[in-house]
Amino acid sequence: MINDKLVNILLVEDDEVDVMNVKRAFSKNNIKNPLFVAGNGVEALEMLENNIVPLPKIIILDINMPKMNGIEFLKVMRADEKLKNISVFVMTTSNEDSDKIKAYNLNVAGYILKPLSFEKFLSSVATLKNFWQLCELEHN
Amino acid sequence: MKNFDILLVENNEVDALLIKNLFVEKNVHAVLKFAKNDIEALTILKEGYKIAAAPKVLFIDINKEELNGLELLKQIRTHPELKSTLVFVLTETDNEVNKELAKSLNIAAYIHKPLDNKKKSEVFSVLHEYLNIIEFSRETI
Repeated sequence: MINDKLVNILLVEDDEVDVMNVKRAFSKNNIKNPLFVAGNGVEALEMLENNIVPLPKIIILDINMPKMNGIEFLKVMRADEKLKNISVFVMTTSNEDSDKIKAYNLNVAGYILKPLSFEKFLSSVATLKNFWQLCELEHN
Repeated sequence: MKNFDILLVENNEVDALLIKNLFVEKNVHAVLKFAKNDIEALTILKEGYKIAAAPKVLFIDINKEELNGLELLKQIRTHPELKSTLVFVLTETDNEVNKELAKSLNIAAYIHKPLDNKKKSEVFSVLHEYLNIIEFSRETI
C-alpha cells in the first residue's frame, strides 16, 4: 500500500447501546479507522456540510431515527454533489421490505440487519472489514 | 435463506466457472445467470423484472471494452425498475478514469481481480461471505 492512511467512517445512529456495540466490534476486529458518530440524519448532514467531521468514505446508517431517518438522509445525500458518491452500509433492526427497496433504490452498498447477539454482530463486522479491504475502501 | 439472482457479465469462461462453482455450491438459493456483453445483460435484466425475478446483483468488468460495462451501468441507473441493482465491478486492469466514473454511478465495490486462480478464489470467497450478511428485498419495486 503506497498510501496507507485509514479512511474515516461516519456512524449515523441514535441508539447509544448500538453505538457502543459498533465501537466494541471495531476494536475486537482490530478496525482502527477513525470513527465519527452522528445521532440522526440532521446531525449527520450538519456535520458533513459544515466540515465538522472530515469527509468519510464509508457511512454506516441506521434507518429508524428521530428528526431525520436514514432513508431521508440518503435522499439528501445522493442529491448533494459533495456527498453523493460515499459508500453507505445500512445497519438496522428494520426487516421491512419497503425499507430495503428504498435503500437499494438509493444505491446503498449493503443492507445489514443488526443481529440479536453480540457474537453474531462481531462476525458481521469481521465480514464487513474483509469486504472493505477487498474494495480498497479501508485506506485512502 | 437468501433470495436473489446474480448476473455475471463476463467473457472469460475460466472466471465464469470459478464463480459458478463457488456461488452455486455454497448457496443453492442464489441463481447465477450469465451474459457475454451489455446487450445480453440488459435483455436478461429487463425480462427479469417483468416477472419479478430480475437479478439483484451484477458482477461486471468495466475495463473490458467489448463488455461495454460503463454504458450498461448508466442504463441500469437511469432505468426506474433496474436502478436498485447492486453492482460489483471486478476487474483485472486498472483505469482511474473508469473507476471514478463507476463510483459516481454508486457501485457497491470496485474490486481488483488477481490473476492467480487461488487468490482469485479468495476474492470470490470474501464477496460470497459479504453477500451472505446483507439482506435483499423480496419484491423489486
